Amino acid sequence: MQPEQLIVLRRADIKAAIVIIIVSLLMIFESASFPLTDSYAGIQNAWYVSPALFPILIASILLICGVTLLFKGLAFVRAHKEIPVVRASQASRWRFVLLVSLISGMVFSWVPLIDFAISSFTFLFLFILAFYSDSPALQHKVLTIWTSVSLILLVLYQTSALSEGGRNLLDWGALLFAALMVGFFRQWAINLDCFTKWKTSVKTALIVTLVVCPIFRLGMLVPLPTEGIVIEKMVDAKYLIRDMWRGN
Amino acid sequence: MDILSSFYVFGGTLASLLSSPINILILVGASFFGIIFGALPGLTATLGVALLTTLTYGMDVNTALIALLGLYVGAIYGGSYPSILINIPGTAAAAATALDGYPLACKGQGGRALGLTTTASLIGTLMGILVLVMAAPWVAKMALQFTSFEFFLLALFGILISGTLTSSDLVIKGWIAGLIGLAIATIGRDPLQFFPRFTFDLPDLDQGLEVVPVLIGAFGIPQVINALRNKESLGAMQDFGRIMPEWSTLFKNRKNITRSSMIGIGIGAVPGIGEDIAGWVSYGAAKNTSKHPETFGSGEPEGIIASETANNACIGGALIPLLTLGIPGSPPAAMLLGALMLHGITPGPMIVVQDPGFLIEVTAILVLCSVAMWFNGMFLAKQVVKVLSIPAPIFLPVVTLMCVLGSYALGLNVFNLYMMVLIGVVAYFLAQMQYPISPLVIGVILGPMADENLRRALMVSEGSLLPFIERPVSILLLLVIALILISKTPLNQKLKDLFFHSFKRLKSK
Repeated sequence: MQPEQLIVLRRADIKAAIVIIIVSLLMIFESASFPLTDSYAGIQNAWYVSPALFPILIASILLICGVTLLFKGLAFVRAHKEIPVVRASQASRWRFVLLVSLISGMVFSWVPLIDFAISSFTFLFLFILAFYSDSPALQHKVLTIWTSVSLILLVLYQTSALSEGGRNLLDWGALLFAALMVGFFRQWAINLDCFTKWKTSVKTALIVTLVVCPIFRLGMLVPLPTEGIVIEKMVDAKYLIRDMWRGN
Repeated sequence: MDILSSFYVFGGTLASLLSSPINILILVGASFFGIIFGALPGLTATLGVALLTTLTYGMDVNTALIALLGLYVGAIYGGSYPSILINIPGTAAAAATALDGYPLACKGQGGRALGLTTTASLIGTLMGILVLVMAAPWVAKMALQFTSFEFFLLALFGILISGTLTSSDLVIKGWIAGLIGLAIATIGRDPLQFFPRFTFDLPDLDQGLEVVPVLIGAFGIPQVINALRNKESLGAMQDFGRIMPEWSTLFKNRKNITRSSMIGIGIGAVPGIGEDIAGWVSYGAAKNTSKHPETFGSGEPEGIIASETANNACIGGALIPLLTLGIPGSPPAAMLLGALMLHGITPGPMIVVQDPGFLIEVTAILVLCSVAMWFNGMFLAKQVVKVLSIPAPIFLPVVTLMCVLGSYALGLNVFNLYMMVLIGVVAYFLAQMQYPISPLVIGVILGPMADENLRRALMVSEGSLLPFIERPVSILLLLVIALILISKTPLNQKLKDLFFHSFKRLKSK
């Protein structure tokens, strides 16, 4: 490892060690509130059967390790003050923010609220297009649109209990959004001279959604997180075909 | 039953199973789906056996066993595919394989890595079967020597060894990762008194964190973020080479294979501990006994062979207590116990009396399953390795979607997905700071076992720590733990220097 990288690592070690020390102290503090030698649920506790024993033990060792890491990091940084610190590029940071936004938006906002097939398609299309096109302008656009929509969905999910009709309406809205995104980014792709990549993104997102959802829902009988206007119709179609096959 | 009649039953079972085309079809199909199950992050051997059990209800016992064991063997092996190709272990059992498998794939030798893995898995399974037949009662008796004291120390040993082996920077970081895993494992109601710990009044945390979302979050999310953030490609496709393993490499590794098989069988035979820890212990043993330990972690075939032989040898080992005592040796074996009972078979000491040929029949089925796994593996490896030619920005979003589905599928709980993302982001930062991720996952897996057994042990001894140094297996484990700790401290170097100086002085006199 280069000295420039090592100094960055040791500085990060110091920050991590401080977090570890704080967390282990909090853990010990919280564990102290667990029944130690008093009675719980009618049972007289001894220290060696207490639910606090293991967490206190782990947190104490973690605390020692944290302190050791802190001293090691401090000693290294003090001894190598002259080495300059290299920072990650701005573009790389943006890509990181976009990745976290895409994954957390999908999990925290789309999956609990929108039909899984629609969520999957939209997520895959925007995710693939943003990184396959490798255009910072397009990535910024995706970040802004996806984060805004995900935040709206999150607020909606947290603040209101939606009826079935409301959920269906939301699914239709999401489907319209997906179609709009496909159309909107088609123009962008043409302008950026990456129309083939746009086509690949649409195709991959569609094929994966059409393969994965039926395999999990119909093949492995795993219920999908949210089943709305697409998945419900797919399940209905399965039983309709089965009944027709059996001649009912 | 004497040896001749055992061979007679064995041959008879093989002939009768192979004479039915349906059985062969089920064998190949179950093994194939097992590999796919193992290869998809989040879908485990346990889940596969559970899902298949209901489908086997109408089958006769032997056909049902072909399907269940075929899937079990295939799933344990299948976990190595994503480990080698994209550095995301399909199952926790294949986590150690990623350490050398992925670097080998990055060097353009993904085919070689998969070939070695496939054959090592076959050899491991066959060795496990051999011991299952020859030494089942003896191994089961040995495994029962393990009490709460030893279980606690074994869990500690597993975390310590994976922390020590996987640290590319300071060793303390591996231990910290393991401790973080143990700390995460304390979330939820405690196993003895049902007291809620660190649940913050959230009902979803009462049951604690499930292993699968932690595994997927800790391995999958950092890999996706890292590759796309830094515009890295997947493993190289050039110099793809042959998939058939070089027999010379396997012959050179005969000691490694034998040792890893024995470790796998031994660990598999201990109830409650499975393939996850066997791979790590065996990898550690291979590294410590290697003439060039510095090459481990950079694409060393010895490492891949060690972990894959051990985790598949675990299958035979896990079946020993299952069939002879009725105690499952690993989580998928526990699921298998349920399936056997569904078919009217109650494993235990009486099975040898009631149905003397049953153990031999299972052995014959396992041999068929491992051969089917090898053929399927050799066929699939050629196809699966082509994923490396797919550009990362197309492939990794699909992997992310599979991670989401995999985390959700086992518990059908959206909360698991939230945990997956949180753990994934934390694991990404930890990985950036050169903390190994595997000890964290091993900590989450072994944490409940360590917690429960420590308290049980102390309950038995009424708070006394003396039994830890009075029991032979316990003393052995304590010594190994102490040796690992001492060997990684500055004190070790001082002791070494002191020893060599005194030796030199004595020699000069």
